[in-house]
Amino acid sequence: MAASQETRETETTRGTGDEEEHRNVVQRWASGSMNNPNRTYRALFYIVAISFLVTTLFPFYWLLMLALTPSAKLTDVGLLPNGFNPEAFLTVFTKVPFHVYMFNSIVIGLFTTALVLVIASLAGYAFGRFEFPGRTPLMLIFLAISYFPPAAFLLPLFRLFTANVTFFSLPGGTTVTSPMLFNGPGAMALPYTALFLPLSIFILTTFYSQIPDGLEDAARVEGNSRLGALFKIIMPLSAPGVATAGVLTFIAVYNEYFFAFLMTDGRAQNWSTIVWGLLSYQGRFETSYNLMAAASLLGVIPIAILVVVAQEKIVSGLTAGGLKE
Amino acid sequence: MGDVTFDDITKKYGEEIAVENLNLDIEDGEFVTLVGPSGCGKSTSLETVAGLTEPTSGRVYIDDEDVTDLPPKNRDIAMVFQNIALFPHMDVYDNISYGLRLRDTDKDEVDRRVDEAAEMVQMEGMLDRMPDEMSGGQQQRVAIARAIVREPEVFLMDEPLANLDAKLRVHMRTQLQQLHKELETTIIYVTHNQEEAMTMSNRIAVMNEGELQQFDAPLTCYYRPTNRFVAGFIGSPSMNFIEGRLTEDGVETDHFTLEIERDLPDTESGQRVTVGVRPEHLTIAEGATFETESGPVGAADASDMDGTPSRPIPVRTDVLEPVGDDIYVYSEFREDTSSVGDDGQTRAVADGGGAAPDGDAGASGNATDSDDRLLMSIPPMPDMDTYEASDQDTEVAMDREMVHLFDAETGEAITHGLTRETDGPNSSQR
Repeated sequence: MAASQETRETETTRGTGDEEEHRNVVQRWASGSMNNPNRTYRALFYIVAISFLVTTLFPFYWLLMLALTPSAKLTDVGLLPNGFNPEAFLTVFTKVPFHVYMFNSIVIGLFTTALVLVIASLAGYAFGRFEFPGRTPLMLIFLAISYFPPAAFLLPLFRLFTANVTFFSLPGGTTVTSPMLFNGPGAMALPYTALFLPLSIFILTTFYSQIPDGLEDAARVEGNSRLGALFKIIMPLSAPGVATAGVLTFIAVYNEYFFAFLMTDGRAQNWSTIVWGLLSYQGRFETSYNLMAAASLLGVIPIAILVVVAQEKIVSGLTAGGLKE
Repeated sequence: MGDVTFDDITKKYGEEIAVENLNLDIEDGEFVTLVGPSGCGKSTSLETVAGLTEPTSGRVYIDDEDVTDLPPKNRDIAMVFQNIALFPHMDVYDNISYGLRLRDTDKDEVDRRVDEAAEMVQMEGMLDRMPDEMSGGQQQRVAIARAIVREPEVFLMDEPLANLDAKLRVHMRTQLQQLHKELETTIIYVTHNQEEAMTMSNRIAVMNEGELQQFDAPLTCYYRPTNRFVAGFIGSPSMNFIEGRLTEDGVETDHFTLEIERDLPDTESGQRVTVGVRPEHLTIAEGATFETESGPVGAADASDMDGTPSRPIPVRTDVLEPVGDDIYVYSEFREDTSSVGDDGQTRAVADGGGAAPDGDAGASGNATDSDDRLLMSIPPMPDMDTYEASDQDTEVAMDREMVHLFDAETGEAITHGLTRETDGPNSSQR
């Protein structure tokens, strides 16, 4: 009795073993992952991560191939360059003053960032540390404005920045008009400040509201004014938030295309940014795609460095902002 | 130099009144404590001196100068906060010297004064530590050093010891007193702990619900509380309160009568009053005892009651709490017609006075503030090791010199002591 039962059990085991062999690869993988779901998740993670990396990094790879290909052989570029011409990375600076364009971009970026941080700090201090009527609606309006299409502002701003708006006339015939900012850094920095300010205000509000009242009180008793306490105590203690707001603003300004393209005439000495620098490799008779590609790669470098350096602060800044105590 | 005057300070938050018509004159070099339960307005009052809160009305004067509209930095004050509030991104040296450096003090001068202040709070040699590398007590000492380094006219301290553990708190208490002696600067100290207030201050300002109740020396607040709130708040354990009414020659409650041998102006017979007596002014009546497992407890030390004892009051013991140098005896009044007198009359008083005591009990908010329970503090018996003594009948006596009467309606004190007037209650303190 006992022996026969044993035999039957062995047969069943063998039966499933046979079935295992008869299944194809997919079936086996499927049953395996049902038993061990983590395996599936890991596989999915790699698929998603790798496709994400490929889609983001392939353009850079392609740019590199383009840049290395001599201009005569540009007609048929494959996954490998048709030739090897690293000279292009130097030619970009001789053919067009690309370094000046980069300089302009960086200066406008830094200037805007500084302006945004100062104004957003003041606003964040008020929003974060005071109760006042209309606080929430005001905050929402700020955020809404940041999502307005920049094109909506273009025409009035263009007229304003090209000294076409007369504010009032003085007795004696002289008129006071808007300043001539076109072809200058102000024509870009001012609209950028307005557009990118709300995000920074939002970030800094969250951070400043978390600094204990006692610290500010202590700073004021020790001899700071409210502003002094803000810039000497509250701001340093919110360093991750300030860094996040600053880096995000700088990247946004550096990447900006619309106003950068429309607020200058494209000459390097007129504060034109990288956008114009890249476009100036496009001549009337020929377009140096290899130089454009090389310049694009060079233009990415400052941002890449910034992100690598500030990455930790940005991550801690964004998570701390999200996880309010 | 550093005298501080509150001139009719009122602070409202919307409809909520935090401080109402506060008038205080604090003299130079005085250690004054603002004490009261949570939400009594003591911190708000302190913040009006610091300039961190603007009073709704009234003026604040420091050194006879109207500082009401000055920002904190121009008031020549320093403050120690309950949550310590050291700047977390600066080391000890930078924290202590922050105020000096803001005032462009000479570098050598800064070094000298920081060293001096650090030495005073015994934190020398730790100047390069960061705040998060130190214990709470060390942090609080740095905060105190930060306050004294600027040599201000007035120190403001907002519950500086509240976040420290009990042992450290007592230690820091003596340190602060030492410091006050050395510096001779005015200190305004806020606490909800009446013991801190009693031990440290020259004068105590007792506050409740935004109003000043009494502003006097600690022992005056203890022996001559102006009203029932102060009486219940100052002293630990809290005073016993028993509702009763005045008679022709004394005071009568549900449970006992007391003779009054002095004239009480502005009172009338039959007026409802509250009898207040501190646990330490109650003893076991002469000849009475109660049994514990380790032997009888009686009025062993007759010298303990050197005042004028009242007639014995019958009670039944409930719980004994040994706290070391004292034993707290909780007991209940026991019906004993022989010592109360006419039973019918007592009943009537009980019914008539029943409503008011409940209303008043909430205001002072003390655990022992019950009509039927009596807390007595007696010296411990030698060789006593168990304290089980529930449901024992015995009799207690009050020191009539130390019995307070309060108006049952207003809570105002009517008299301190029921015996014939002497030079003052302080002459009879133990």
